[in-house]
Amino acid sequence: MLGLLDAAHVEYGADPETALITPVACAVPDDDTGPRIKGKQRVRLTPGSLAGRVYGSTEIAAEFHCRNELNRRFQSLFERSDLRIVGVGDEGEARVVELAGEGFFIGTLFLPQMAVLEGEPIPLIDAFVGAALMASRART
Amino acid sequence: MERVRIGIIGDYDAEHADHRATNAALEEAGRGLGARVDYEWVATDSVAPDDAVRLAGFDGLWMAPGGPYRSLDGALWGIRFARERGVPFVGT
Repeated sequence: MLGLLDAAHVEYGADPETALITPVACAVPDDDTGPRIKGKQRVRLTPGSLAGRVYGSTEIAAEFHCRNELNRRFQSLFERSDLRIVGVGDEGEARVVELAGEGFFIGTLFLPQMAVLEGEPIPLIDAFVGAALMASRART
Repeated sequence: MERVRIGIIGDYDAEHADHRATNAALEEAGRGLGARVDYEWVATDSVAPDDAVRLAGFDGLWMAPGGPYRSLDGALWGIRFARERGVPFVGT
């Protein structure tokens, strides 16, 4: 999609400098296993994006627990792609991507499902299951 | 009650709170929609790249957290399958 034929990920042995997926930059070093983002962080959503419409907001607090993120040197490639960055952290780091068009295709660096443990609503998952239900109806 | 079939691509581990939360979030979404969510974890190493059959029965696909996956190729194929066929997809 991005024209990268050698996209690599540090979890699978790639060089962190050149890999598409690389260790998180702004992180809380909370143990000796390396940097990670943990806990609630602010994510700003692009108005009018699918993710923005699903959450009905341009700013959400999302639960993170991750060690890797998109390497920022590749971020500009997304501007020319149908895969768009529609959610960013405070430093402009990619946090949500979605596919342009009519379908439902969203990826997040955070864990929206963790909100269920606090009894909070999860707009993204409700919308995802709603889209799957529509697909199911279209099928039959 | 309407049914919706969700495939969760990932290597389920009951010790992982985010995996348990994935199941709970689907059940909760089903309650909200008045539908029964039949979900199934599809291990990444059970998905062979280019296998169009394994994932064909799902109305939606969710790429679960938990890398490194047992099979990165299986995980990437699942994402590609959803993208190319317009299957509702979320990756968290």
